[in-house]
Amino acid sequence: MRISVKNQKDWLAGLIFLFFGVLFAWGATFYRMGVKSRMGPGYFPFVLGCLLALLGIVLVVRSLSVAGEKGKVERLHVKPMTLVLGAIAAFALLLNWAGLIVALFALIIVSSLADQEFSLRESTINAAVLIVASLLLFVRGLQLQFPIWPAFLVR
Amino acid sequence: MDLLHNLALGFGTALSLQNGLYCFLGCLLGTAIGVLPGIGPVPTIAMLLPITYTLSPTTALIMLAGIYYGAQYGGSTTSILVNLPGESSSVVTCIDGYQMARKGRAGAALTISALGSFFAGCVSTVIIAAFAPVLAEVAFQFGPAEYFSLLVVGMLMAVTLAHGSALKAIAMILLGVLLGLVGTDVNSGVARFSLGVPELADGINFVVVAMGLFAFSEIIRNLEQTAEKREVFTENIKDMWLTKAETREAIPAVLRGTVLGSILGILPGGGAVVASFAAYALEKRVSKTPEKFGTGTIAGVASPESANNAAAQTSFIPLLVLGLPANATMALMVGAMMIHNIQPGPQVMTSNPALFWGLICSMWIGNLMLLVLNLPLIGMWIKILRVPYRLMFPAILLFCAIGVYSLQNNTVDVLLTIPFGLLGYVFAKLECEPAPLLLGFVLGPMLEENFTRAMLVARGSATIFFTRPLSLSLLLVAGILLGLMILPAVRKKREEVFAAED
Repeated sequence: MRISVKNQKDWLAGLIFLFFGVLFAWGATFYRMGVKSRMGPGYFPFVLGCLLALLGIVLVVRSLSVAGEKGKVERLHVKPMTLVLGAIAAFALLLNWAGLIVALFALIIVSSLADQEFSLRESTINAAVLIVASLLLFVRGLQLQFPIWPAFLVR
Repeated sequence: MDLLHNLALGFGTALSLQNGLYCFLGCLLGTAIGVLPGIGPVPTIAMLLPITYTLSPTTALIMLAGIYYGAQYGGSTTSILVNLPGESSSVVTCIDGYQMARKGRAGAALTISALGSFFAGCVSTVIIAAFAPVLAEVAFQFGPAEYFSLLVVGMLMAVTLAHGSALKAIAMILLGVLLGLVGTDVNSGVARFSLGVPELADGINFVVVAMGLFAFSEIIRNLEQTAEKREVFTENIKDMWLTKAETREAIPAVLRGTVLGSILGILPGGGAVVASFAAYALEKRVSKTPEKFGTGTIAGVASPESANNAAAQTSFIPLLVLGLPANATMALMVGAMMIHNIQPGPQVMTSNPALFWGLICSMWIGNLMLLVLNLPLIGMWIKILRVPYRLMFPAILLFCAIGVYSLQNNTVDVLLTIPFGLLGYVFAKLECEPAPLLLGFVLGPMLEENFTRAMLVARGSATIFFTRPLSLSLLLVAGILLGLMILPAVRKKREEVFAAED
């Protein structure tokens, strides 16, 4: 028989909290526990991890019986999610190797793809303006340290 | 008199050329991000923190504070003209503000929100100056047991006032505390939960957490929606003055909003958002014509707009006096102080009086600047509103990426924001508020330190928390709060208060 979930949001949130609670409590067992008067590095995270796991269980159990008004989970929009986070990843991975200009260009173009009204021409212009502004503001103005040009060109 | 001497020191500090300039910069930026929907003070302050490394701590805090209260001014502009909250603390302003704009009274709505904010800003500046030193005296008597109990009260208070399920908010705090424990333990020197990554041994930077949870997930959620064509009232804003009837209605509303906002700001967990909702609810209750709310009544604009600015400022009191951040923005302020090696707490006032009083006085000066920025220059902000989001959000991402990288000139920090962005987006779908997590994250290490220290003092007996009177009374408050949340009647009331947001 299938147990029906009445409140999907609470159910999923409960599982996530349970997961993290168990993870931290388990991880804490690798450190010295100590005693109450002299707590080791594992004591506090172990207790809190157990507490979090407990709250997770309460949420899961409650979600089976108490229906929420808006209990259904909305769809995850995978496209903007991957493109926005992917743009950040691209920036981080490119920066040291290809330099600031290339990394920013990648960041702006990849993230712009997430918008429904994407146009390559407009995004390229946007990228150009933002890159020049960043060079002036962060590199010239605030003197932040960046590799600007690709590492293989500078050498 | 002592106060006069302190204020003189404060104004001397705040009016120096550099501090004045950065105060203006903070207010300008605050108004801009306040006007822009989709970016709030939390990601902005997180973004700019690394850049403030080079400034003196006083200057840095003056600028960052300006962003927070500046956003309260800017947020109302968007609410009134576009029916879209520029800031989460201006959500309720949409209700009556936009209706006023449709009736052709946009100018009056803008004027009263700026004047109301200014009045509230002046009053709350005086409140901080008068109350902070008195409260600091009490704070000096705090030992580790009291601090632990106070932290517990603060966190629970944050839950009571947070939007949505209390159970989930408590879980979010716990998760935040646990994440805050990642890194080298001060007592044993053990690198906890670092997974062998050297960057994690130093702990996760809170800017990384704030950026992922707030900025990235917010951007993803904004991109979900197809761009709607919204009616923007940008043309006929000529009539900025209030009529006599409007003035008569607005003045008591501003006063009530200021008082309520100042009180809610001081409470841990309070802040601009809660204050604006509460003020609107109060105004509707005391009004002789509650049925007019929602159709463009000026009290519905004046009161919440005064309240959010008052609260934005008085929420500095728990931070400055106890080192206890009341909300997510204040949590970032703790970080800003730590960057400059200042331990927030009652000792700041005596060890660093120029910073303390300079910051307070800068708020008053900042409010004056904001009045000028927002009323005569309103046209400039309307132009900003016309920039489409598809050009705006890559720029926000760019600022975030550069900001996180400059924390330690390290790309690992940038990569670390990605799991937090993912987590923030999923949590948003599950109606788990990210603010309690950030609060727990910042307070976590303090909580552990005070807990272990108190237990050490008491030789392992937990009774220390109950035998010391101050600690006991704080824990009693915590118990009452917990009890209140479980009571169905109160739960229903909470839901009602926040229902306006949905």
